[in-house]
Amino acid sequence: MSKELYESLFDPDRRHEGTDDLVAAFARIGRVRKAAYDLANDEMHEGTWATEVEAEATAARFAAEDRSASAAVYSGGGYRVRLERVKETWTVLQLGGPPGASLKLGESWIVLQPGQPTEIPIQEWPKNLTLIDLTGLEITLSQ
Amino acid sequence: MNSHDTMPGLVEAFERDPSEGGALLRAFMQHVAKVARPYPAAYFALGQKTADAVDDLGNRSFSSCAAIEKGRFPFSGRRPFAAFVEEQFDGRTIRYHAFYAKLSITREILRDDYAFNLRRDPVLRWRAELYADIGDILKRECTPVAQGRGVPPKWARRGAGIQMIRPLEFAVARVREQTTADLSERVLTVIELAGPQTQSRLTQVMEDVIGAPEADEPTAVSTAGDADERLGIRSAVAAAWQTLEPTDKALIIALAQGASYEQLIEGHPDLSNKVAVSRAVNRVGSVFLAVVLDAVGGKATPEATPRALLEPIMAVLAELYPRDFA
Repeated sequence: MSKELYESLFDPDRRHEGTDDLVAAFARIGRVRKAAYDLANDEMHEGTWATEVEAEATAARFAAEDRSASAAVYSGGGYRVRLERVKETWTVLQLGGPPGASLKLGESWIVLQPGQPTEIPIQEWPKNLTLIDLTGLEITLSQ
Repeated sequence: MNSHDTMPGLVEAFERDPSEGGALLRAFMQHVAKVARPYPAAYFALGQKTADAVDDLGNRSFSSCAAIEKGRFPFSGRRPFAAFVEEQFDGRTIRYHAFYAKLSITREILRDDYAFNLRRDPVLRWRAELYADIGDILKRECTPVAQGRGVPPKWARRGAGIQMIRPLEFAVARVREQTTADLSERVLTVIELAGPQTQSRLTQVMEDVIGAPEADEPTAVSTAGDADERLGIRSAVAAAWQTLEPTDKALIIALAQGASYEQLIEGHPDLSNKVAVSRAVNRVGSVFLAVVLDAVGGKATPEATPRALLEPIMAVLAELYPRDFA
């Protein structure tokens, strides 16, 4: 039922009472914002307007989408970690921030050791990483 | 490496001394102009493809390479120019990442400008809404077919067996002949006849079939109101935001991101019962949105639609809390 209520806020054909109608109008703006970004992003990834005339993807040494190894840096709250994927192995390396922090991955906590890569059990690039500092504070790291 | 290729040297010289950027900037302008050629006006600042807009794109692409740290490969948290020098990229590889790759720095800026225009321009917003509506149909009726990493999935009819695939043009012609105005029926007809399609391709097809609405006025993107008005909204939003509980804030962020219910609950399991959602919706409406609108003197009249009143609040939230709303 809570799912139905939440989803009804995005439905342009549903009417709501009182200030709930304002919330629904706000949600519909959010829906368009998401759609706008997703559409623009889809067209970029599909290469709708791209003509790679200078260098063919196969000829480029570092075509990100063609490599089996890649990496990204996530940061937030004074912490920086580098997440790297080599084939199916994912490792995380703390680049900045105080020692003693852990990454929270579902029910698992991975203790970070500055300067030492640690293997982590993920299958795809996360949008954000959740870090727990020494005091137990939860910090969201993003790219 | 081409021994006559000046690009690596120009980038290196600029990294050593930023006052040595003239020749590099000129090279940027030439390549950006070439990359920009096929793109329609919707991809440029203010929705207008002019010489100034292309120059602006070149300048922003240069600034982004010079000053903005990028997390993704191959930059790994470095500024692109710094990465180019550190990795000793040759000219062709530099140009690939700066201009010509599908995911180049220049094309990222074009993507962001297009996304901005899709939200603000009335005709383009219709396209974004069409894309969202088609997305709802696909999630309900179809199943995604992965195309590979980094490429959006195609969508096939759920449970469809072996089918004869016709050219897309055939499917489009068939849909044009249909008397129905039902979007779902039209979308599914295209997939049934022409096979799996991406959501963006289906959006282009449907826009072509239905026809975008006429613009009532020039489609230049309007900027926010005057500085005083902006400041008033900003302080009202900041003050009201402080009065909210964490679950209220989570709901606002999820709504602004167009997040699914599952995404909302994943981060905030305490919102998984109807009373909690209902209470949060009520509080967000009465303690946040209504309070902000009241503070800035907004009223929902025909001239000031909820969208017109709420868009500035969304924009201010993105400025104040970019991590959550940008």
